Amino acid sequence: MIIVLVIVLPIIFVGIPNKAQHEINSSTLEVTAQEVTNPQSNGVHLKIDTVIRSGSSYHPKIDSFKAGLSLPGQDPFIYITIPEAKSEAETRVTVDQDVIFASDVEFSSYTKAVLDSETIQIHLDGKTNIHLSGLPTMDVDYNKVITMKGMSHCSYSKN
Amino acid sequence: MLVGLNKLSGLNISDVRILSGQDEILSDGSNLIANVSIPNPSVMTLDLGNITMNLAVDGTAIGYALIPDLYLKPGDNVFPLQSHVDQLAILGLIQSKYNDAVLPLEIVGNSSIKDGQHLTYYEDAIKSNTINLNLDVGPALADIGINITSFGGS
Repeated sequence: MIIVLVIVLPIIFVGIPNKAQHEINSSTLEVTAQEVTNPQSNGVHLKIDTVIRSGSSYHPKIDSFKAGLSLPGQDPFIYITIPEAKSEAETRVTVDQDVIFASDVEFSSYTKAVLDSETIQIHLDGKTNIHLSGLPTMDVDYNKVITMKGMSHCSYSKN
Repeated sequence: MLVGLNKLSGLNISDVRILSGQDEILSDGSNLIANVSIPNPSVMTLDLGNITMNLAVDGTAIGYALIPDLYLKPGDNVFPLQSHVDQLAILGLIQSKYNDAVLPLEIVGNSSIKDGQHLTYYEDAIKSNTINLNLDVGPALADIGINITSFGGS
């Protein structure tokens, strides 16, 4: 019995969480549409449509979590709440909420980057829990570089 | 990678009309109206509020312009623009240097206002961006009876 536990417990408490983290890391997050409306001096309404793609054979439930959005190497300009999602090969997640700027300076840097650049990188970082039936809850770090296609690409893919 | 707005490159001004006389000049003093097209290559929609811009030629101010309610959608966008320009200065520039009435316009963002509030996070961005475009005011001058070929120069 002890021998069985010695083998099984590391798999459950180490192997599977490591695998779960690896699967999260290898998934991709694409923003298909983003609306920044109702601009106020300290915040905006933000609607982001995303597609998360995963090649994993597991389909865990991922808890809702708070994620910071930032330019590379900078502090977050806003925090958004990612809703709970069931992970599939393609999972569509929409964030639709009023947000207050985490930092006015960082948000200005972000809008400047959006205006000035042909392409920009946005990092999305948070921590969440994932649930797979029969296994203990696993903590994972959710760190992604967001991809977003341009208009031409977008209209092309619809044809 | 996200596609950004790339300094609003591709912005263009068309359908320029010069307003003169009390009947035509707008209540805010605008004496030139036009359409401004802004291509948005991204999938982002942005409510930028009322945008004002400073207009200059060769670094000398010639006026300012307002785009009311600049709600930028993905793809092609066209907005009405109203502008208060120094018409005499423009005529002077055409007479002295730009005889073909094509002015090398420098447009720099000035303010972004929504519901009476300044949106500094948009103002910081547009103030640091200069848009250069060649604006042909010949047709607009012809419409009000000024024929640029009658001007001196080459």
